[in-house]
Amino acid sequence: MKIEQRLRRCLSLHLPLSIILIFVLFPFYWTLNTSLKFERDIMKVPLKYLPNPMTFQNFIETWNNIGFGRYFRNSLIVALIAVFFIVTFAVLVGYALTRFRFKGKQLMMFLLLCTQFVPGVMLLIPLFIIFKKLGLISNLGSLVIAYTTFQLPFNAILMRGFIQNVPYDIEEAAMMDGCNRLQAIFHVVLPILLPGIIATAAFAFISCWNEFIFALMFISRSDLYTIPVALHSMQGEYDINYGYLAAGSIIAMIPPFLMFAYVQKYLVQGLSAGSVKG
Amino acid sequence: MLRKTAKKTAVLLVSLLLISASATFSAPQKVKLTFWDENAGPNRTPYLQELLKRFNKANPSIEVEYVGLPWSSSKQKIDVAIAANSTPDVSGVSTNWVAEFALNGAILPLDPYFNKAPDKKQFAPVHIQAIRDLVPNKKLYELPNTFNANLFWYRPDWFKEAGLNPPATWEEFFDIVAKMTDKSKNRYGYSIRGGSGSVNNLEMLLYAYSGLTEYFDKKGKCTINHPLHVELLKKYVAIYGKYTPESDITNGYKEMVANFDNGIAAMIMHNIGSYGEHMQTLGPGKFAAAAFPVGKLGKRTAITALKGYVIYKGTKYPAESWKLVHFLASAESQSYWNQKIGQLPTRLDVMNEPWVSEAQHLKLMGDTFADKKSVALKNPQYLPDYNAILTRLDPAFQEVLLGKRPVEKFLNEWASAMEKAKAEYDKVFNKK
Repeated sequence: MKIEQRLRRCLSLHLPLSIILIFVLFPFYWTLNTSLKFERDIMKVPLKYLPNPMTFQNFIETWNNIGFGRYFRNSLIVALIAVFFIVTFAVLVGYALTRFRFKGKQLMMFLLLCTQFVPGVMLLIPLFIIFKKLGLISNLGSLVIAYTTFQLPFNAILMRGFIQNVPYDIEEAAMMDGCNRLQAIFHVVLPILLPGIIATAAFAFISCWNEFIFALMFISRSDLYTIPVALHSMQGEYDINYGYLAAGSIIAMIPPFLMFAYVQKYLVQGLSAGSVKG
Repeated sequence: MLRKTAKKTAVLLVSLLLISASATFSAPQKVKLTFWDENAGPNRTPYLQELLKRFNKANPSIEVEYVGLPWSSSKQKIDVAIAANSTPDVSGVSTNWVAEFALNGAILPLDPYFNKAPDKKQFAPVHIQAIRDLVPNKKLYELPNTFNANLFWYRPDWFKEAGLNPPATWEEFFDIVAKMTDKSKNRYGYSIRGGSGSVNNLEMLLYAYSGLTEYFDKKGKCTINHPLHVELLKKYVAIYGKYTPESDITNGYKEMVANFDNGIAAMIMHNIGSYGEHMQTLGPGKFAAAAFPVGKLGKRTAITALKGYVIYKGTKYPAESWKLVHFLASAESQSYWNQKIGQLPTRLDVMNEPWVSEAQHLKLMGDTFADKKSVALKNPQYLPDYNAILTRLDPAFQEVLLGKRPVEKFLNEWASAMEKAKAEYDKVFNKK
């Protein structure tokens, strides 16, 4: 009986999961495999499923000569600062939308949603002109502002869902004990909200980290490029350097990979919390 | 006490002003030019940067800032820069962008400088004329430094094994494609470009097959739906899936080139630009170039693609920008650049250099264009909608490949889109 149960569980759960896992992980494996091969071996038939002979040259070249070290730093600066602002504002907007009653609240929610329907590309030229007038072209500040603006509505709505989950009674209790509203937010609401904040920050980080079109348009200095722009440059009109492209992709994957490994537990908690009453 | 401080501050300020003023007078201001490379990447950027280094050394009063743009979005970036009046001084361009930029008043005519250039006769007149023909005022808006053309890449080792030669006629082409297919070995005679850029690729093949040299006839009718093109396209569609991989329907250039370099296809039609990739993956002796057979009407029609440099209207330093453009298109620069990227120069003196005849594909192209039967197709790159129409037709070509859209209907739609664009163009420029 036990064996039959195990077998059934294996067939209905572990086997499909393993197949999905292989399906999901294969592109990662292939990228890593390609990044460790010599350029001449990448396209060779029969295809090599292991990088033999192995080389780290693609990584060294990509990091040093192509300048991924610099692009990595730029991406990190932009993403971290933007995430800080996005999360801060998202908490405040989310809090206001949850706790306060004010005229036009529904309209504001609707407007926040509406911003999601406008593709960023449509606004490229006006945004470019605004940043130009502010002297922010070829300045990482323009990306921080653009990312914060475009990411804020979605994340504020997400945060509203999380804050709704925090019972108001706790805040009231804190205020009864002498906290003012801000103290209640910082000392009581925020610690409970941590999984939600981490989930929001993770989403915001990934969106900022992967963003391409603004990063290309608002930056006209090669040394200020971010990683997605550099990755696109690996694909020329006539040729693609697959080795560098794969190595660059692996480098680009590292921060999101490490971040997700660390925040995974919060993320699942946060997502489910948000989804119930979102 | 307060007075003393005020005095001290005044003396300090005056001396600072004097120092800065003397610095201004003594050190000549460097002219700073911004250069946008429209097709940056690890296989090209280092060579262009080397050229810019040489330029900076030869012109110490000018400093060039290099900005590399990824090919996939460089046109979009330049378009936004034009719309926002934030263009660089100089950029690289594909010639098929030039008409649009010139009509928008974004770039400067180069004639005042070019006409005075001592080496102007070294630029192949056919290329200079092709660029002049892009605009109604026949001015020169681009100085070309690289020239690219389409050809067949084939596997000489496989051909030898099968006792075949590259196709000398179009009948042979279809014959070879069938003979080289061996599905048991996952080997196909040919790989079709069916995804992005497919119609552009197809256009070259259609005119090469027919040998028509004019895109519009005297009555202004587009020749793309000529009966010979219908004939070719029907044959072409028939080989899809039978002598080509079925996945060809989504092939962009990289997938098509990968089919060839992976040993899946015996032959592809691409341009000399993919030479580097074949060399890296297949190695010498395993790939070679073949010219298109002569077309049915007795001409070998080819579409050539030029690359060059333009100066933007917004530049504060047109003379210095010309210096840069002229330097990049000089004999020394063209020789270095085209050798490194494996393409053809646009100057007659560089075309005669030994390295051109030593590379099989370059020699072949040089000889082909020297042949009297070869004619460059006058495709209407001057139409601002030309590229957009070709791109828009890509999904329709996929339907043709799948047999969901008749060949005639597809070519008629193509012809009428081009005729409409031409009529609009003629209306604006009163050409009729």
